Amino acid sequence: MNKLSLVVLLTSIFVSSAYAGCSTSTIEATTPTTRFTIDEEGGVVTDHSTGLMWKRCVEGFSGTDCRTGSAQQSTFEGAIEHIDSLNNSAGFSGFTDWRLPNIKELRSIVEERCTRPSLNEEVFPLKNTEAADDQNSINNMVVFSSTPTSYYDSGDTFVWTVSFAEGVLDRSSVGEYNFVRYFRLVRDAR
Amino acid sequence: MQRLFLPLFCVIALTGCGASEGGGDNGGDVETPTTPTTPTEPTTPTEPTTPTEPTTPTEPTTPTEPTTPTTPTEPSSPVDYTVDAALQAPVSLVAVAANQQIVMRWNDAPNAAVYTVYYSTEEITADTSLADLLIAFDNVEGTTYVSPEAYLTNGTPYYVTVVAKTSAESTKVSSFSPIKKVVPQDNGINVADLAQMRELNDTGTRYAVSSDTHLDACEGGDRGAKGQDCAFGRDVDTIASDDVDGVGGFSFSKISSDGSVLTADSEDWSCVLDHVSGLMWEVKEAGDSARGSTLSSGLHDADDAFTWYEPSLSGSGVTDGIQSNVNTPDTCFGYNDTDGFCNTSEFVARVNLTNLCGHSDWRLPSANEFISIINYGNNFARRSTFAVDTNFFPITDDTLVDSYWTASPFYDNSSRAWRVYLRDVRSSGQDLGKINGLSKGTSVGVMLVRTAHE
Repeated sequence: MNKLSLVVLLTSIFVSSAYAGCSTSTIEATTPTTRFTIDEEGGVVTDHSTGLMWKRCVEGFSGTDCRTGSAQQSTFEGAIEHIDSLNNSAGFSGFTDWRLPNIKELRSIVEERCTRPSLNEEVFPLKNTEAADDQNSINNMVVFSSTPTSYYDSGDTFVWTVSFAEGVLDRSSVGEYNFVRYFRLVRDAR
Repeated sequence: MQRLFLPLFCVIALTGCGASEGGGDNGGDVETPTTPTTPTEPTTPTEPTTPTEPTTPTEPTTPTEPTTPTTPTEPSSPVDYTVDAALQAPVSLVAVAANQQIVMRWNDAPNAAVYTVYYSTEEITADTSLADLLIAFDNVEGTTYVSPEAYLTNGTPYYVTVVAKTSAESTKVSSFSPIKKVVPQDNGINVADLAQMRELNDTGTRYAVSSDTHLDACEGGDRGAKGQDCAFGRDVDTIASDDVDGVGGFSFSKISSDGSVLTADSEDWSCVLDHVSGLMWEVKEAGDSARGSTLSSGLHDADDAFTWYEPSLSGSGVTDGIQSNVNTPDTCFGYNDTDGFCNTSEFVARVNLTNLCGHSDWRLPSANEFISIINYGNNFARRSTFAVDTNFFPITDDTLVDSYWTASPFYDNSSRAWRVYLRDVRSSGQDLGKINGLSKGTSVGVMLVRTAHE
């Protein structure tokens, strides 16, 4: 078993480093920097194409380059409680109407020409070049949306997630297996 | 850019500001409004100094009209407008706050020629009388409104809505678009940057999830609905969530083969216009488990499958794909083994030759465009359910195709492109509503799209 785990681990590290980066010369950007107003001091960005405002850092990180702190992973319930508590106290960047993005909103910030992470890091910086211990986990970040789903007839409880390794949609359990995932904040820029 | 001059113009002109050209097939930028031919904006408030204190919640009488300190001239007073329920209102409105300004964008309402932007510091509901509201701008051409500089007071909540008119002269207006609340503030946003924004389609999800079950409604359970998808977006907006035009917050119109807009109960339609995204979609003919050159029921057979192939990409750096499926080439209407193959670019060309729904600019959708029509609220993705509203996009259990190509190449630009699952026949619903990468030589469905409104 240990050998197997080691092989799996090595393989995943190899795969992540082998493919990390952006095909900037061939594939058109889906989230060009010019699509966003970046408020470095406030830690937020506004998307000109959707009218949504995002917190730049994934939850847990802070600072203009999102390199302070450590990424917070949480159950779905924990993420919702965290945001509720934030909105009921100081808020973030002066706003108290933050929420989890739905699956379409979350997919709208995927940079399709980049991988591990599939983000435009000028807009959404990620602590991805240091802290080798968690680099793999962060670059392959699976992020909660607020949109429930299931499969089979069991009615097992899941919500949709986006894997920012490539931008693929998947599900994470909020029931029996109660997965722990990263999460981001969004609000309407009203 | 032209649009940058708009605020300057407004400061100088003091009246008639903010109209802009946005919609239409040209998809133009915001244009500097030429001097209005008819001075239709008597209610445009010129001094944002007085209206600063409507936040004091104690005066119900004064705050409704304080923003008209200029002498109220009433030529053809917009106050005389009456609501005509037969006129279609914009179904999508997004409003973004900036420093003493707002920018608003709405969809092209069918048959509308111009729009009137209303606002109030008091809450607006669907029943609010027009006479109780202020007009920010009358007879806006296009679908964007950018307020003049220093027009609103930072920190003050404003409610905004838009109505449609069939002509500038008409005194009949539609009911309200969705109503939005904005709070202007100095946030570094340049309003002109957002002049082309569009509201994202909602997901269609109207139930909440608890730890052990999917609820039937957006409440109850151990988690309640707080913070979940069903508590936000178009499907909780009483105006946007009308189910006649698509379940939840979706807002579709059926389009005839010649391009005319049909009623929602029409049984013969060829395309669907999504009013929120501004995209028009090809509608497939319901599947019957048969496809290929002799079995396909026609060009739009829902069973037909295609490889991903775009020869024009050759040399561009993006892989151009596979011209014909190596093992099963005959999977579509029009196939022959010399010059009629079943691939995406040939299908696009065939459809454009037919002028489908009056248009010849059909193309493959991008990944996010395709996701826009997915109904993630369709039950909870069980086997034999579909990830779209089948009242508008008919898919049957007999349809051979389960996933569809997008135009978007996969990140590494290897042999893959993004595909979207609208049904799932193989794995008990696990793939329904998903998107992922697929080798371009695989044959899957194609549903074309065109940009109807920028």
